[in-house]
Parts: sequence; C-alpha cells; structure tokens
Amino acid sequence: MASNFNLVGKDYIPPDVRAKVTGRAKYADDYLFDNLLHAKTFKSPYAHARVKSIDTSAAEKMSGVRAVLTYKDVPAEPINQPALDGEPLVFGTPVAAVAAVDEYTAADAVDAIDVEWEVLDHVIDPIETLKPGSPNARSDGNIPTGKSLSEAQARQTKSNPTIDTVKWDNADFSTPYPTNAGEYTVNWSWGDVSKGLAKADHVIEDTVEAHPVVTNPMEPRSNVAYWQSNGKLRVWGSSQSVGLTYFGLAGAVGANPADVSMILNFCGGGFGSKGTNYPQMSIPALLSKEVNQPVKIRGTRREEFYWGNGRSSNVFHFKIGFSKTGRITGLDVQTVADAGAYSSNALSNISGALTALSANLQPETMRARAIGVFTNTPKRWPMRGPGQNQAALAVEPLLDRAAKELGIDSLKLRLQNVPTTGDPAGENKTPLTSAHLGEAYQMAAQAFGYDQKKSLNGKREGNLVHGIGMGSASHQSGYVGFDGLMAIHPDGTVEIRQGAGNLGTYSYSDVCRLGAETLGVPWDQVTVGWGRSDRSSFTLGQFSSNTTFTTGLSQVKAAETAVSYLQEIAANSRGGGPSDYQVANGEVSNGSGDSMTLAEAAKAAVSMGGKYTGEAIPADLKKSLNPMTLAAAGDLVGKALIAFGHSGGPDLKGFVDSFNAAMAHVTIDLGTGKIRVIDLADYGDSGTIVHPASYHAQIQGGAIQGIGYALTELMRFDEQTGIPINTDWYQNKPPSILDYTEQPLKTGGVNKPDPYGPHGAKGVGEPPYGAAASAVTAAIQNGLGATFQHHPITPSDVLDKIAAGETKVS
Amino acid sequence: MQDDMIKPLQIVKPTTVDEAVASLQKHGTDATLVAGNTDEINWLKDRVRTPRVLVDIKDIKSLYGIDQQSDGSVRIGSLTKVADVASSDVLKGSFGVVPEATSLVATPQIRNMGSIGGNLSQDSRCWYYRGGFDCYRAGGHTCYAITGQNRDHSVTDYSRCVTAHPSDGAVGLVAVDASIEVQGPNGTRQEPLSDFYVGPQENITKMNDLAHGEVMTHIVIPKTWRNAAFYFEKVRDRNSWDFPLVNIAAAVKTSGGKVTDVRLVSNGVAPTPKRLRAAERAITGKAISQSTAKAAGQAALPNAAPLTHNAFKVPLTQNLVTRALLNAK
Amino acid sequence: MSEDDTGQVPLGSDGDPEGDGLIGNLSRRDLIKGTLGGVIVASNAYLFDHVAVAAAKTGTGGPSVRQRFSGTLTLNVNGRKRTVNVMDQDTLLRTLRYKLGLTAAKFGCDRAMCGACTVLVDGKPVYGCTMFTRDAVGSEITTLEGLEKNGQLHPLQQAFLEDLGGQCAFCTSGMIMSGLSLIKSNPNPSRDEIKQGLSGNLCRCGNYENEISAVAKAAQRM
Repeated sequence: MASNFNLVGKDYIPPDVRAKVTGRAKYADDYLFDNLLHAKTFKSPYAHARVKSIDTSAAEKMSGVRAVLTYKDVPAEPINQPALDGEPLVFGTPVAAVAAVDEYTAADAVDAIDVEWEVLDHVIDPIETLKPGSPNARSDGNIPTGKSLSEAQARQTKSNPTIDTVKWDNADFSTPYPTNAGEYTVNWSWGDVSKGLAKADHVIEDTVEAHPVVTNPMEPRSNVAYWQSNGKLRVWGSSQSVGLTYFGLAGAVGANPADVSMILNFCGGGFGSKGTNYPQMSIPALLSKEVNQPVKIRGTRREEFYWGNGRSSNVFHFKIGFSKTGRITGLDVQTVADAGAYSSNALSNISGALTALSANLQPETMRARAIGVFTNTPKRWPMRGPGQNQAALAVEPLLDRAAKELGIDSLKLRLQNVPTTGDPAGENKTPLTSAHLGEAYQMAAQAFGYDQKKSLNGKREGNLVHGIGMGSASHQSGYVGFDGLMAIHPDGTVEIRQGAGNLGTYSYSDVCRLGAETLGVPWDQVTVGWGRSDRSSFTLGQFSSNTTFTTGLSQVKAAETAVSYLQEIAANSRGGGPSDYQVANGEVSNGSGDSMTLAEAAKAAVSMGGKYTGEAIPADLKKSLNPMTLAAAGDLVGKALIAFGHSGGPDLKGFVDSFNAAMAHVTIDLGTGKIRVIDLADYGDSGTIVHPASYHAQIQGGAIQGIGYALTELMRFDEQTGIPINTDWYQNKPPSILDYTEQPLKTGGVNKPDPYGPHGAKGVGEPPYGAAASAVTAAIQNGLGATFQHHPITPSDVLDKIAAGETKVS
Repeated sequence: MQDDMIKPLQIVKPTTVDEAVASLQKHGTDATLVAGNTDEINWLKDRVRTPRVLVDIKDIKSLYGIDQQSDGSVRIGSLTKVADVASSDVLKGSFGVVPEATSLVATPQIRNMGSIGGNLSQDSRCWYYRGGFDCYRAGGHTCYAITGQNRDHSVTDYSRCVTAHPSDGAVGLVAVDASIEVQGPNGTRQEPLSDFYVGPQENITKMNDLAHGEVMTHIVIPKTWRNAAFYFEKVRDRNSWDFPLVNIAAAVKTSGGKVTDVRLVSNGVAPTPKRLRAAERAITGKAISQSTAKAAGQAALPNAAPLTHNAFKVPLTQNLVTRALLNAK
Repeated sequence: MSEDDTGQVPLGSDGDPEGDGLIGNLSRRDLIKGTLGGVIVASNAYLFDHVAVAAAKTGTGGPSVRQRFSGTLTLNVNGRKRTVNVMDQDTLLRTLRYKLGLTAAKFGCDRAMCGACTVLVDGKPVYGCTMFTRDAVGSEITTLEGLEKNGQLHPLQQAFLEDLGGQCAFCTSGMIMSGLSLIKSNPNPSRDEIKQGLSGNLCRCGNYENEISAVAKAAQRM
C-alpha cells in the first residue's frame, strides 16, 4: 500500500488548527466592522402564498433604516429560490429585506412591513401531488424535468431544468406506494428485469421511505457584503467552496466576477447545504449595493430550518430477486423524489440513488423508474450523500431480510453482490475505476467481531433484545476538468494556491500534501493557501465527496508542471537534458553532483521569465485554465516560478466511486422503545488514505450523523397548514454526545490506490453516513424481527410496532 | 417571526420578595417574573412575548439553599439551581428521587442556570403554542394539536387543550408529597405541589396557579417519604436536552414485605403531573413481584384516550410503572 | 493583491502567523493607515453609538420603537476589567462578541440548545446566549481567549490541536470551556464522565470521539 510516501498517509497538524483552538479563526459573523449595517428579512407565514400588496413605507421612514428591498428589486429565478420571492413557495421564505444600523432596528423595521397575502393551495406530501386534482406546489407545475444529473454535473454543464405538470390519473393510491404508477421521467434498465425476477429463488418486495431532515450545520449561514461605489464587491461568507460560490454569487447579484472577491476562510460546517452560493448570500450584497456600506446578515438557527437546504426525500418501491445463494438476479426500483419547491434537485437525488443502487448491489438485471416532484417544503440541496444515502437506508435492511429468509449469512449475501474494480455503475454502465467494498466489509467484520457478535441477533436479555445489522453506501468521488496552482518563491517556499474551501474536512490542506508529495518538497517549506477567492485556483465545490480526488489531482497536475519546469531550469543552468534531473527533498538534481535548491531554481526562473513565471502561458493550459486561476497567480507573475495544472478527460476513464461498509450492534428496550447503539464499525474504500486522522474523523462524523438519520432526526409538518412544526433543535434532534455508540467507533480504510486518483486517493465524506445509518436500522429490524417503512426509528415507533404485534420477539 | 432580537425592555432586580411583589404589581401585565430565565428568554427572542419590564429575582439571597430541618423535612429555596438540587447530599441521602429527576434535566449548562422554581413552573412545550399559533392556550379559539401533530401531547385529563406537562423536577417532588410556599400581594400561602398545577378545564392558558404578582419562595419536602424506596426514569428521544416522552417518579414504602404506601407520578401524559392512582391502588397492600408489578402497570391510565399519534404513551407508562415497582430502592 | 480601496481587512487577519490564511504580510498598522473610503475597522463601540443616535432622533419613535434602557457596566473577563455600555436585554454573548471583540463564543442557535456559546461564569459552564450581560456583573467570566498565556497554549487547547479536536471547529470553543470546567471539578474523568460533561455541547460534524480523547489527554496533563 502507501508505504513509500513522504507525506501521504502520514498525520500532521494542518495550518488552521491553532487558529481554531485559540478562537482566532474567523467565521463570517466574527468579522467586525465600523459602519456595518445589519440585514433582516420579512418572511412568508404561509406554506404557499402570493403577495397582493406590500407596504414598506413605515420601515423606510424608521430612523436607522438605510435600505429596504422587496422581491420586485431582485432578479427572478426560473426554478431556484430567488433572494426575495413575491410568490413564496415555502414557509419562512423571505419577501423583503431591510438594512439598518443595528439588529434591533432591523427587527423593528421588518415588523413594520405590511403585506396583504393571497393564500394559495399547498402540498406537503410528494405522493399527494401526483394524485389527479391535487394541488401543485408551484403555479407553473409540479415536477422538474430535464436530464437527471448529479449536482456537480449540473453545475459543470449549466443544465437548465424545466417545469412540467404530471398527474398519475390511473394509479391506485390506496397502497403505500401507488400501484399502476403513471409517467416517470427517468427510465433505464440493465438487461431485462422481468427475466431476472422470474429466475429468482426468493423475492422481497417493499415500500420504504427515506425521510427529510434538516442539514443544520453548527454555523448558521451568515454573510457580510460590501459593495463599493466603484463597483467592487467583497464578501465575507459562509460557504463550503470557493470557486463555484464566487461565480455563483457574482451571477446571482449581477456583478462582474472580476469585480468580486470573497473571503471564505472558515466555514462552520455545511454537509452540502452551503455547497455553493445560496439566496441568503445575495441579500446583503444587494442591500449593500444600495448604500455602499458593509451589510451583514447574521443567520439564525430558525432560518436554517426554513432555507438551510436539508435532505431530499424518497418513497422507494423495491422488488428484489435473489438466488438461493443470495445473488441479486433482479432489482426493480421505483421512486418518487422530493427536494422541496425551489430546485430541480430531485433529479440529482434520483441520479445519485439509482447509480448507488446499481454500483453497490451489482444486480444482474435492473429496472429504474423515477420522478421528482415539488412540494411546499424547504428546498433540499445535496446533504451528505443526497440520494445515495437515502437509497442505502431504504435498501440495506432488505438484504438482511433476504439473508434471513434464505437461511444464509448476511455477510455472505453481501459479498455475493459487492462490486469490484471495472464493474459497471449507473445508467451508462460506466466502469468503476476501483472498488473494494468487499474488503471494506471484511475489515468491518473483523473490527466488529462479527463472527462472535452475529449470534446475538434477536437474543433477549431482560427487557432488552439485541440486534446485529450491516449496510453499505457509496458516492461518486472524483471529477476532472479543474485547475491547480503552485508557486515556488525565490526564498524556496512553495506556496500552493489551491481552491478548496475550509468546511472542516481538512481537504483544503490534504490536497496540498498530495501536490507536495509529487514535488518532493519537505512539508515545512510549504505554504497552504486557502480562503480567498482572489488567490484560489478554480476547482469543483466541496461537496460530493470529491475534493481529495478532484482538487488533489489538479494540484498534482500543477506539481507535475513544476517538476517539468524545474528539470528544464536545472538542465539549462547545470547542463544536460531535463530528463537527467529528479526533483526530490526540496531540490532538483541529476545524481551526479549537479543540483539546485528550489530557491535557486526559482531565482533562475525569475530571470528566465516566459512560461516559468506566468508571463507567458502555454497554449494548451491557456485554453483550459479558468480565468479565476489565472487571476489567482496575478500578483506573482514575474516574481516566482509559477506552475499551473489542469486535469482533463485523459486523466480519468471510468467512474470514481468511494464505498463504506458498516456493522452495528444495538439493543432495543422492549418496555420503553429506547434504542442504544452499543457498537459500530465503519470502514471505507476511499483509495489511498492521505491524512489518517482526518480520514477517521470523517468516518466517525459521518457515522454519528448517520445514527441521527436513523434514530432521531426528521422534518415534521403540520399537514393542515403545511407549516414546519419542529423548528427548534430540541424538537429536530441532531445527536448529542450521549446519543451515539457506547463503545468507541471502529473506523478504518482499505487504503488501496485508485488508478486515476492523485497518489491513488479518492473522496471520503459521504458513504460513511449511509453505511452507518443503514447498518443501525438493519440491526433494529433484525433484532425485533420487524420491518420499518419509515424513519427515524424512535421509541414511539418501536412501541407502536410492538403494540401492533408486528415484531417477532420472544 | 422575527428571530433573536428581544424588544428593548427594562430589568429590575429586587433584593427582597416584598420588593419583587411590589414591582410586579406596579408594572402589571407589562412585567414578567424571571429567575434563571432559561425559558422565558426564548419567548422574548421570538417576540411572541414582549414585556417591557423583567422582574429578575436572582438577587434575592433568601431564596437559595437546601436546608434539612429538625423535624426531618427539607426546605429548598425556589431559586436554588437545578444543578445544586441534583448534587445535593442532603437530598441524595434521604429523598434520592429528587436529585435523580433533576440530574436529567436538559444539559449541564441549563442546570447551572435554571432554578428549581422555574423548572416546576415551566410552560407547555406544545410546538403549536410555542410556534406562535393562535391556539386556546395562547388566547385563541382552537387547538391545532388535536387534529395535527400530537406525538408529544397528552393521553389523559385533557380537554380543549391537549398539552402534556414537561417537567422532570415536578414528578420527583410530587412523588415525595412536596408542598410550596408562595408570597404575593395578598400575603403568603402554602399548597401541595400537586395542587399548584392547573388543568385546561380549570384554566386553559396557564399550567399552574401562580398569579401575576406572586413569587414561589420555597419548596418543602415533608419527612413522610424519607428513606423510602425510590425510582426515576425518563424516556426521551435523545439522551440530552430533550423533554420526556414519558417519565416516572416512584416512592414506595413497604412493611412486612408488602406495600403500605406508594406514589407513582408521571409527566408527558397529562397537562399536569399525573398521579397514577389506579396503579397505586393496585399495588398497595401487596408484595412486589413480577406479576403484581405487571398487574399494577396494566392498571395505570384506565381512562386514557390517546390522540392520533401518541397511543404509545399508554403502554410506555404502564411499562414504566412495572419497572419502577420492581426496581425501586 | 492590488491595493484598491477594498484594502481594509477586518481585525484578526493581520498576517497572523498561526495561519488563518488571510492577508500575507501587511501589519495591522499598515492596514488601518492604508484604508480609504471611510470604512475603518474597529473591534468595539459599534452598538452603543448607533443606538444613542437612533434614540436621540426618534424620541419615543413609532409604535414599534421602544425606549432603550442602557447603562455602563464593568465586567471581569479573563481576569481583566472591561467596561461596556449595554442595553438591559443584551445577552452576554452579544456583548462578548460585538462589544469586546471576543468572538470565540459563537451564535449556534441563540436558544440554549447547542452550547456553541458556552463560557464559564465563576467557573461553571453556562450558555452566554441565554444570560443577560447585567447578570454577569460581579462574576468571573472566562472565555476561550483567556486560556492561552504568553503564546503558550493551555493543555486543553494543545490536546485539541494534537487530537484534531475540531473539524469545522464552530463548536470547539464551547467544547473546550465545558471540558475545562469538567476537569477542574473532576481531575480524572472517565469516558462516561467526559461524555456527561460535554453533554450540553452539540457537535454537528460528529467529532465526539476526538473531543473525548482530547479532554482525556488534557486531564492527564493538568
């Protein structure tokens, strides 16, 4: 494995940690300004309504109020949520915004705004809106259409989904999943699933819902914007990413990107919900434009429930056929996906879910049918494994059920179906660049003590029954088409101007480890650059478990450019040809006594100029580099050795996918319904592990969030009014430190390199969540001998199952 | 819906109870009484309540302390922090159910800030009421929970309002027959803690009978249940912060192996702390065994009328009764 | 970067060698001297001035503008006397962050439901968002900023640094303060006792294992 590396695979202290433990780390709300204005928004009190009239005159006249905007003053959006909306489609959507000299005045000004409403029909339930005669969440339709793409692909291709109306006129809605379903917008197959099911020895059929939860990062989304009279806009923001946020915000507020700069130094978590820019980020910018003063919107926790981008929901119907050894001969899946009223994200949920099912289970035949709908619920955006983890939660317990009914071991059943390298994934059967899910399962089993523990399943111990379960999840974890940038200063320091945001994964720094590894430079000579759009190379956002691969690869590319330049410079300076020289240990040498330190080479580069110092850009790079990357090197041109890199088509053939497998031991108290997770092992196939401590932290974090998904979290609505009803944290319950495993979490990775990944690395963050969530719910279902179609599984759900006689506990 | 910004107000800090009473009277309904303020402040931040004056009694030194009395009773000042009640050696020694109950309130920080009086007199946690819906409890003309989301609500003793009482401290103290002392414009009064609580039939807008202008000064635990066998359990979704789905506090006295007196009190099931008298009657005079404890459990909540989403609370309460009787020590 | 009039940079980003990654080599003096356009960065005195102005201009104002009761208080914060002008309803968190520039304690929820605002008052962990500033007069207030002494990290900070105690680190200030109080009252806490001590601090990244090990490590060293 990764034993010959200097940096990769070794722990280190990333450069932002000291700031974090001393309190010096500044998040968006921590920056202090004189002359700062404070923004607050007037929000819709209805699930769906239209503004008939709005009177902001009292607010405008109020002393201390400097600007007032309504939905009439901001750009409209065809499908996404505008900054302010005149037909708010969700409770809590802002309609108007004020900027005032302090927060108290801003609050009073909002209270002084008068709106006359026309209340419209609302719909909360995704199946409901498919019924003939049922309400649509939007006036212009009830489904997003267009190609179903992953969120990353949608942004890269700037796809523009449209809106349509579909009702299932002939469906029977009396069953949990409608029978005789109507039109689906996504339809694809692997082979002929009816044949696959026909030859099965055993078929499992069930409807399972994957429920909506609020993403709720620890930091509510606050943003400060200062739009100066000379047209320059600076933003101190809360976002997971840099490049996409920067371009996205510029587009959203109508600014020229060249006039925009963003400070995105520390982000208090995002988990997808702050993946790029979002409407709240536009509001202070648009207000600031009016007054040319800095404006801050301090995000509140309650607002995170309204517009904080939660997890999309699915209703799945599965029909899965198994051979008697547990091999899946046919997988027929139908799903209705719901991402709220304000985005086409149901489409990427569908893409993610269906691809994950195909990749993880490798069914011999498969039929996938899906449709996304709108409901008047908060916009759901990619939350940690959006679609993939919903599928995992829903399907994995069915596999344990099949194993039980077939009388075979659960792990053996899983190992019959896991993917290996080269196996297909998704509609187009793209080959997996690497896949070691089977090994992850076996490592998890070993760490968990599966052979000893499995006999505990169903065992009574006083009021308790034990449950043992397992599950897996996956997520596409690497993309190409992005830039890297490295500069070697005349003092010998290597400054890596990478473009990933800092949301707590340490990938912004780990990708520099990958680049530095290629360059062979000691870490103490490296300066990690992050947090400013004007010094960031352009890369994909920090979502989709992709950063380690995507940005890492682009930084490796930049390092490769640097290596080739150093070789040329050394040859030029010391003699011989470039290929005579190696770059290692902070110097470039030919092994026969001719060498230059990086400092010497950088100085030589400066005197040579041309491509070495960014004064001329090689044609192929010029064509592919994003203007943001070129601008990021702007202040260094002519002053340092500048190496650009770009990852492109030839750098990746196939589908990069990361996998996790988990095993869980739970106890269920039959008297109270309380579930305790005693032990959990969660192991990943993420390619080469770059930063072990952070790797373990990502798995632990994903596992703990996954436990919340399975046991405690849910968006609840009052059906009559459509209003979200549990919008405080004690009602909408993320796991506390007392709510996860009793034993320390067991985590680790296969650590086998991916052929395309930078030094073999793949992305990390999302599969651990789905694996843990599915293992926990499988364990509960196995232990109780019950099936759950809804989550979370809380004490009330367990007691209801017992009261209904639907458990098989002695 | 304006989050987080408390409307400007004035804080007055009386140093005696008389001053506090006078202040409340002077400002009338413009003023609200606060102590630890861990809950009232949230209403203010949501701007659902907008008092102009807060009468903050935290500086009244005479209202702190847990004091053993010579007659075997214990007097607890109403401003005593929940954390101090939870860690009190005086109480752990002889009235252990009270520290046990209060040790599971919320989180360490809230226990450090909140007063026991505040815990006892806390307001409904119904998410419609708290969310600013104009329900009966808020002075309006309907209940949203009855036909809506009512998982957290009552299964018994409700009327037009179906809220459930959320306090853990209350069940611990009701189980040991605690009484309270209240001082107000008309002087001082005492009453059993169980009488302090008010059901919706009596007053649909208040959870207890504290009138405006009154201050709860002390909680008194009589010697009655000293060194009895006790049990407390709180069943909630998460193991921190959360209010009880159902909790139970039990105090049991036995003689010659048989139960001579028993208190079984639950919250989460009714708008006021619920004495499970049917279960108490079922076990009194019997020896506690698996079968008698089970029977007593089954006897609990005979008149329960669960709502659409909370039927689980009935078997839960019954199971907790059985568990309490079998494990009380 | 070009020195246009966006050159002003907020406090705390003055080329801090601990690497918050912001402006490279400019000193704070340079930045303040170099500012144009009237936007000067300061760490305090933001609320009071504007409030006074608003009150003066409006008198009793419109129906929704109330009289603002404010006064000057002296607080003991991290061992120093700090004088602040606050309104009665200003919370301790608001005052620490916006008046005193002590931004380590965070607004996570402003409702006593997450612990990101945890500070110590007389050694006990409380939620700063739920305490009025006036209620902290006469007490010793300790925030994360008070732990480092002369560039030397407190053992808890060192342990959190070594054990990757923070991922996004938004909860880290509160975690460390709760950990500090725990260790002071229980110098040798078990894993369960550490969990209980941190049970009022939410970590959405799910970094609990590292937080537990960091607190245990610090306890051993203290």
